[in-house]
Amino acid sequence: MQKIVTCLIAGIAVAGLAVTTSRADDYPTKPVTFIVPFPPGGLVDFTARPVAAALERVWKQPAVIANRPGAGGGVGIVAAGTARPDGYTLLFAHPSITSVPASDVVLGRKPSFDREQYVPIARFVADPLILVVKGDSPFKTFKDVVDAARKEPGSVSYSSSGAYGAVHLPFEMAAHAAGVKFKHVAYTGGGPALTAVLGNHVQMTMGSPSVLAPQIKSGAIRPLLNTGAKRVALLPDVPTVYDLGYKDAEFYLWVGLFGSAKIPAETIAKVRDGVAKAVKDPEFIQQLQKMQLPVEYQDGPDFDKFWKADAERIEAAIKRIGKVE
Amino acid sequence: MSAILHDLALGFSVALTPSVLIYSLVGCIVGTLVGVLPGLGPLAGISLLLPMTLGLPPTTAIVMLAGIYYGAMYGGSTTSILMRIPGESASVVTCLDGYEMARKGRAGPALAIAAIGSFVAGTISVVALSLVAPQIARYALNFGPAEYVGLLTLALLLLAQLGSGSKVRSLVMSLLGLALGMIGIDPLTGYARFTLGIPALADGLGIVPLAVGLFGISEILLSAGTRNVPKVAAPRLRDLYPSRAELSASTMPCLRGTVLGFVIGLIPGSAHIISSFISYALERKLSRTPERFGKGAVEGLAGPESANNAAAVSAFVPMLALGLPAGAIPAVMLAALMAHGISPGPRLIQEQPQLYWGFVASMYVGNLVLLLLNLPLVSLFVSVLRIPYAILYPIVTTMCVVGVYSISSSVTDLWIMFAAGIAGYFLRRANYDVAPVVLGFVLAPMFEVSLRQALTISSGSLWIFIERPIAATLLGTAFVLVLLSLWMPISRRLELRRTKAGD
Repeated sequence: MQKIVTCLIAGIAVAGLAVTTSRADDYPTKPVTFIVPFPPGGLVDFTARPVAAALERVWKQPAVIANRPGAGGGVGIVAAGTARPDGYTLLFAHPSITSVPASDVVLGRKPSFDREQYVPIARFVADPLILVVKGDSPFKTFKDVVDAARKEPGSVSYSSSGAYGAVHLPFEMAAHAAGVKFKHVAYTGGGPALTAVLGNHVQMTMGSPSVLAPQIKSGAIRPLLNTGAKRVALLPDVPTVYDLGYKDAEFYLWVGLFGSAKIPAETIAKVRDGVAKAVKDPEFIQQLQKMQLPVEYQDGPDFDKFWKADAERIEAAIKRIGKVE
Repeated sequence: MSAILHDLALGFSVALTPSVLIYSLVGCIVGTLVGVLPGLGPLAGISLLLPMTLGLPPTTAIVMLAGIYYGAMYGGSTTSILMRIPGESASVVTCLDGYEMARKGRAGPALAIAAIGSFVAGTISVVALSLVAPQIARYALNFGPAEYVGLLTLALLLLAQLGSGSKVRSLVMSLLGLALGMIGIDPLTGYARFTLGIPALADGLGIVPLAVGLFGISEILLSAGTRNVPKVAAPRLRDLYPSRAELSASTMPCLRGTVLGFVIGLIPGSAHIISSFISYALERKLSRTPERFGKGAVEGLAGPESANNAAAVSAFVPMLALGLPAGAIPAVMLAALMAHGISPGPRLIQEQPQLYWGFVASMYVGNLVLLLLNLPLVSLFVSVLRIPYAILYPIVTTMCVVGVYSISSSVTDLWIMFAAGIAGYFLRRANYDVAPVVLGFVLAPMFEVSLRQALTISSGSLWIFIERPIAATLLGTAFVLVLLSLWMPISRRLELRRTKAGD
């Protein structure tokens, strides 16, 4: 009997210990899971892995990447929103966290999540997209494209990675800013979209600087426009939407870390501290350099401001697009 | 020519470096394991293992990934032949005659022919790739949506060739497959179709859970209903390897399959997955005894297996020659290169010759390794069949569950697999073949997307299919095939009448 009582007391003591250790000031005391809502091998996955590895060194706790692909990121984003809000399940996301629910609304579906359910923790990269035409295209500048589209609306075609995706949206923004209409041909991914330009099936597409740079250097494609506010180191000659006066067409393929809005503020602050140290980790910087992804780190509040402005542009573009066809 | 020999020598000097060679071996072995595990195919295999290669030097990493890829292609045929469980869409065809051969006690020869056919096709394709890749890659880009429509129309016509029973039943099953292929978010408009509001269905049914269910699970259910357990005697060494007759019957299908597969694999996109289906239909058309197909015809195994592996190699051409991620697997490989700081582009050959030629040379080595690895394993794999059903099938079912779940950690996929298994059980008991369902399912989204892309590009004008020579040729061929199939019964009847009148 006495043994049982001792055991019970010991048990309670251990349980009490467990309760105290899971308090925010000791975060993290166990492995942290990072949901990547895309399959391995994409931009989000490749950004998340070095971040997680650096956090592992900062926290001295395992950081686990869990790829939960599906529905343009929707499946993984929902999973991160419904996980226990203790800060041990976090989410890496890109602009689809804004565009997926917004396109659901336009298409008359009940959105599977709302972006208000997530708090931004940090942004790591924010690459603009580069608009390209085939190397032997008659279009030498973006103005040529706009002039041709104005002369004959719908005569200039582009391939996208899919409806409401990260190529469709900036093209709609650029067309809107220039007051013209382009012909949209949706493909099933950025690779097939680029292949369509090289095969001369459509006239233009967009892609990340690091992906397109070798094709541009070989002369296979020609860059005409950068959707960012500043020029990129890889392609310093390509004019930005600001240079050309189309600043409403500003668009970035960014990757950020989010948490459920239900996670206690102190825990989120802990994560932000950890991330601030992780982005200074030399191995992290070196790995992103290797992939030619410039680090565009922003801490929570700055990222929040950036994200709100970005979301407004994306949501407006999706409303303008309306239902495709 | 001497330039190519020189380049290849460079490649082999890289591929035969001990560290590269070891990782190539490891890749082949891991790939074979991944392929043998039911439900895990090459794409799932390399995506899951990609993060593990990030710590390796780039050439080593890419060689290992390639090893995993074609190792999985080899291994995938093993479960198809032994247990009727396809690891990916291409090995669905292997289930048809490969499994029937196994049921007739010819599992060993079936496995050996699959391995030899894959080796021959793989090697010929690598030679072709090293000789002509850069020249043809650019030309293959002309194959756009309109051409796809032509090719897929031909493929749809061949659907009826796939079943072993009546054509009407095959067509009904193809329609079922086409309908199932419509489930999910329409990539061109973003509309969710037939998803019943279930978010997990937004990307459509997965090909792997569907195929594993329809083929594998239904087979397990069917044999549970039969009492007579086939007795597989301990095979004699002579019965483990193909007879001379089997080998000579496989030679031409293997070579035809290689050429067909190589050409189809060059087409950017996912055309390579239909190469095995087309090869099967072709062999059946050419055969003097088409009624043997679906009942263990060795030609129906050798042709598609070769086509599949040839296409697997030539699918790398747009990636290697142009740096284009033209299909799902090259996209993952290119991503791996980018993670290593190599941005692949059209000048990969000039800028990274040791990587390019090392990769090509590693494919020669890998194919040989896989042949040497797989032939001795034949006897081991065949002895699996001697395990009593009561023990074997629960293990296989568990492995199916693990394999299918590991693809995207989705429980919905498991429900799809079991539902497809039960549906497959009833369909097959009612004498409906399930192979056309899978082909219809694969073709439906490809055909729909290409057709709509072609019509968007042409602003709705149908001329695009006639103006473009390749599209026009393919559609013309399809048209002639339809006319022929309409004319045949008529001509037969006319002839009958004439002979009667002659009486």
